[in-house]
Amino acid sequence: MALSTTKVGIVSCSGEELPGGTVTRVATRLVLEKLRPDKTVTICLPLFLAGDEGERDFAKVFPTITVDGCDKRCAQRATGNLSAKPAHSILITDIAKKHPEIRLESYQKLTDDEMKIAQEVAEEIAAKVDEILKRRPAKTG
Amino acid sequence: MRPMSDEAKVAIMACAGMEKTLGSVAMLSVLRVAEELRPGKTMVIALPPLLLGVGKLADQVKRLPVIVVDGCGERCAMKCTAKLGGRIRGRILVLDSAKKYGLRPDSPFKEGSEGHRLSEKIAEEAALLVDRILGGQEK
Repeated sequence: MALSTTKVGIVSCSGEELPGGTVTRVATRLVLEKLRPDKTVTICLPLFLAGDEGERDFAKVFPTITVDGCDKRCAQRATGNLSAKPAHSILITDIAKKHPEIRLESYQKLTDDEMKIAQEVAEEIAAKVDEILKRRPAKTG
Repeated sequence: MRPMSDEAKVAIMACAGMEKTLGSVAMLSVLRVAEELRPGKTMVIALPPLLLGVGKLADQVKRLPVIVVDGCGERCAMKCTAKLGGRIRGRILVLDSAKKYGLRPDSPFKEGSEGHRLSEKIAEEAALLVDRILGGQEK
């Protein structure tokens, strides 16, 4: 039986220790709820790290995109170490560098400028989702 | 990264999970405590770097009393903190608080939403826990 890959897992760091973590969270939710609701699922990083087999198995079988707020890259490292190499990894600070006029400072509610970065990140995630699903061969099982 | 105060006496940790919006409510609650209600007395610790062994976070959760705020019944923050030998002194579950206050845990990012109000209620509860913990230590 042939099973085509129809979903991509999004793993965001969501770290609350830094403003970039809030951007990863908001961007991921934009993709899940607005941009690609039928093509994406989220992987809960704390649950994944805590050892949940369901989350880890999903990331072994299905492609993932990791979204990290800082260069500790917790989401990317965890996914790669505990399941499989992510199909794509995004670092918020790389995207923020393109907008030196915007400073990421909010931990709770993002400003309009910070929302622009979150939207840009969400659009990059959505574009990568389309690319991954297009090139990913059908799985056989 | 958020500047850490040496005077911070209580570590506060949210699961910050991505399942529905429970983790968002947990996350906003702890940020509200650290930034608005008890700044300087609390230190936010993020679960992913703690579990990945970044820096000295594991030492902090062993040294400081910890309040955990979990979104769902998986209770990742509580389980992981306990596993690392953390000193858990307060536990809040968003699902339980939602029932207690009769508020739906919807997106807390929208001002005025029930999720937003719930995060405020939980933050107030956590701030009182901070006072209780610090009050107990001072005796």
